[in-house]
Amino acid sequence: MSLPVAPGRARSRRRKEALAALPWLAPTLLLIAGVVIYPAYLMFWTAFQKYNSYGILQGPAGWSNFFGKGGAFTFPTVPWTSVWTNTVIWVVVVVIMTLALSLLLAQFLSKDFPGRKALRLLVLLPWACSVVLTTTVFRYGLQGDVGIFNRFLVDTGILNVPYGFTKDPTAAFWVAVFVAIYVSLPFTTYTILAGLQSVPNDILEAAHVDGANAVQRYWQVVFPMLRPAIAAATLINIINVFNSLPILTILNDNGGYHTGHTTTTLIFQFKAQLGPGVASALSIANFLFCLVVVAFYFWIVKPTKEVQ
Amino acid sequence: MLAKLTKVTAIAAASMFVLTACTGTPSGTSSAPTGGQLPATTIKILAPNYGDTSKADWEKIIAEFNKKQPNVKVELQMEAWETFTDKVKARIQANDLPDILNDNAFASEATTGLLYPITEVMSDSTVKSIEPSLLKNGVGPDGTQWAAPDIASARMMTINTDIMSKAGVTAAPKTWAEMEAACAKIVATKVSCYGMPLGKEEAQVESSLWLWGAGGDWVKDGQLVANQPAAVEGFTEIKKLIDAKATQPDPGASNRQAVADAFNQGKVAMYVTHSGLMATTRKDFPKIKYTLSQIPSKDGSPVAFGVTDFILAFNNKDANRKEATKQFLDLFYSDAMYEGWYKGTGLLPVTTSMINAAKSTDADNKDFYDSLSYVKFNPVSDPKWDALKNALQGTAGTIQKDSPENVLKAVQEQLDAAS
Amino acid sequence: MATKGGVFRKPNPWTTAIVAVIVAVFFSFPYVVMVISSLKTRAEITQQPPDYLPTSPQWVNYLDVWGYQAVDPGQALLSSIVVALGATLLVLLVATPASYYVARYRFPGRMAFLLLVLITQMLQPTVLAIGLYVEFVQWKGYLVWLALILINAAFNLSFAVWIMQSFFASVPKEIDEAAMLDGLGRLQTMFKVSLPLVWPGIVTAIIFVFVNTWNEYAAAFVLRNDKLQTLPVAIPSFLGQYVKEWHFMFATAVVAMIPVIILFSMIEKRLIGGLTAGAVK
Repeated sequence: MSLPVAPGRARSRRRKEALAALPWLAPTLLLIAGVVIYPAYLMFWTAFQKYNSYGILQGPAGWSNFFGKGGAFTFPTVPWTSVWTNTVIWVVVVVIMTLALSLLLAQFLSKDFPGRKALRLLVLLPWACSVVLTTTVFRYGLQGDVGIFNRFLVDTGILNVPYGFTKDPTAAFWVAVFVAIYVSLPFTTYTILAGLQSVPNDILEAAHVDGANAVQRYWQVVFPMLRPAIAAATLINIINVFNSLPILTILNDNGGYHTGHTTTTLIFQFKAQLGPGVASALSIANFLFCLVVVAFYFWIVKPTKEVQ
Repeated sequence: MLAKLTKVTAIAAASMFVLTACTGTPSGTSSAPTGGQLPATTIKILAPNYGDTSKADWEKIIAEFNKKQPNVKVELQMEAWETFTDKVKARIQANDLPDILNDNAFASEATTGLLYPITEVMSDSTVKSIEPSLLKNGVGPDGTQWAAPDIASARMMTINTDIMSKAGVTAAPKTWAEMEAACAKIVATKVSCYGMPLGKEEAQVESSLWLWGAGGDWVKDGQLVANQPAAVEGFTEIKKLIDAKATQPDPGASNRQAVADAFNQGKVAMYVTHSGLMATTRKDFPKIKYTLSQIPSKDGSPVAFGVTDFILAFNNKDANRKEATKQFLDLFYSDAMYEGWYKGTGLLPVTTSMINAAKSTDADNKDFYDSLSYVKFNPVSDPKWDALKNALQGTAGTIQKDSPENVLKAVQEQLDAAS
Repeated sequence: MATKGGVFRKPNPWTTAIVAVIVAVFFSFPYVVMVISSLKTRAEITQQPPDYLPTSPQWVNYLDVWGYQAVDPGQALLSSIVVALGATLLVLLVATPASYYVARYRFPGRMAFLLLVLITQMLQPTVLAIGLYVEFVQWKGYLVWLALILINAAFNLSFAVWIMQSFFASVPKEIDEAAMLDGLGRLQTMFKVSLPLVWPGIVTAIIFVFVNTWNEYAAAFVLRNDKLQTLPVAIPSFLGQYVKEWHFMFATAVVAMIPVIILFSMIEKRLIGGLTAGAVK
């Protein structure tokens, strides 16, 4: 008699516990359901609908938004090789360069020197000023005709004549890579600074006593302890950089399917020219990529372990 | 400025008199407007900013309209041109259809059956007041008058005469060969010869000019065709100028404003301009001396580019709104209202009476009015034009690095795939 | 702490000074250019080639920009502030109870909940922009603000829940239990006892939500409305096809920069503390 009852009781106890949690979690769940899951569903739905050039729904489209005559992956003249390489370069180069520079910078900023507080505040500037504002300064400065950076590059002899950086899709792409690193530095540096602070001094001293030199001490003692900080910063940077739209679009004066696109900017190009259906089709590819990153993250970092 | 203001006031006053005399409906409150006062309703206007006064110019007409129809609320939404099409799309998708839309295209709306034929929301006399050669531009492929032009613009070549004489060029070039020769001399003086905006904003205009210059047209046998011999010829000439370094740097990613800025700075000798841009040059850069001329073509026959923007009326299935729209549009095109409005755009009028009045008074723009007799228009009434325009805007600029054949092949492929 | 010489030997003060100057210049030059450019006349800013400095600073740009017709900088600033504050507030309201409960109690579905939160952290409005557009395109007028608040709150929620739950978890359970023995309810315990102890975590969350919302571009772009658009979307419209008002744009940018810089300088110290205990742990 007792055997069949116990699981039932356990189940009802579990249900009760879950119900007790609900009021605390409900607002979060509602928001996620309404503004993350529902639009994701809408996006999948939209990818299979046909729209006219004014975005008016024309009926189901099957797979034509993906692979049809004017589909996302089959539209003529889209330079897919550039798009894929750009996307990979964009994420990999920006994230790695940001990390490398931030490690150096954080090391420097963790020292004690007069004016350190002010300098730390200056480093925050690109984070505090919106990405769009920062990017626009570069766009202005790098104009071939009125740009102040171009004038500077010519005056210092680095360039012979002003160069229209934003006019050439490939040059514009690399400028965007630079700006993306630039705006990612503050957050990453601060995260690593925080990590450095959590390295206990006695461990360092012990290493010192052991006779390890500075480089050894860094790589063998400090760096391993920075791992959580690096993991957190890297993950957030990957997601931010992959999804970054304004840097690439603001710095590029070219239209159409040029060689400076990533999959993210291409989505918005498609939306403007081919409508929401085709744009959604490509969005789904991006969405799946994000999920792959999530899976990798879970596999490597196992973030749920510590809260178990 | 003051002189201009006085002139405007004087003309406004004069035309007010004309209006009173001709139609017998003074704008005061003394006589009831036709059809009496409408019940409370709202009509919505969506319009682009042509210049600093655009909003005020609309509001002036709205205020006048409200004197006659105090119950009709007029909601005005102004948008920048850059995002205008997005905005129109958004309103349509949201089923928030403006009763009156001022735009540069009408084909997509007309084919989706969202519009009133414009003749249903304008009285006959108003329709007839519009210059027939311009009115024609608002006829769809089905023969229906879907839209009415509200402003026109002609584009011609402007040439900096100081640069011209310094380089030893004696006359404005009329043929491509003359242009190449002139450019060779001008480039030798370290100034760019021709400002060519082949970037994502203006490529559809620039491409057409050279296609027409080769004697071609986008429409062949009722179909839009990008990859055609005349286009190849036109693009070959474009490439010739670019390769000879006769254009400003990076023509493939330049817009017309950038080219105009360079012209105003004396860095570019000639470019294809319109009356609004030249007004800025006269006002802010008085040192620049220029002359206007036809756009060169292969054989020297004159080319000029015509644009009309349109008034479209969406069908909101409401008789009161329709009637209010009609009364508003009749008022809009009346000389008294229309004169101030079109002048605020810096462009050319479309009503016959205003064109005639302007020809005699507006000496600065005389050449533009004259060119209206030979302007050609882009095929905006064709629903596929959007696809061709997008393809040109995105791809024409690649001529800098690619062959004319490849560029036009890519444009044609995009046109075929998108339509 | 790495302050006493850190891992490395005590460096040459001159080297430090030179590196410090390079770092300072590197991180401030765009903003110096921004301020200088905002003080040029229209003619100066379109001059080819440009001069480095204006002949006389045009402070009047900072007045004139408010009357500029094509873009309404006041409205953009207001929109950005409303959306950023709204989203931050909403996140705090929603995330605090969830993170508190998750940190304090074990219950069935807890892992699933945390997983869901983590997954949404990997997503941004950009990747779902088309879906968000389809969902919110009907929201007109001031509802655009609400839409943007909801969107930014939803996409920043996960970070806040994650960071705050790790802070709540670090507060000893006994403190809460003592409070509840004193007769406080769960909600009161959270507000009166735990919340004050996790303040650094909250500050970190606030900064993240605020800055991410302040910067958010994709959703604000697809949902923009002529009257209500946030700064990131409004700023580029100073550079239209027909006008290039760089000087007005930069004046607006400088004005927009100030509140966030003040915010950052106020919490700079706590920021590292927050990151140490939260993201990095």
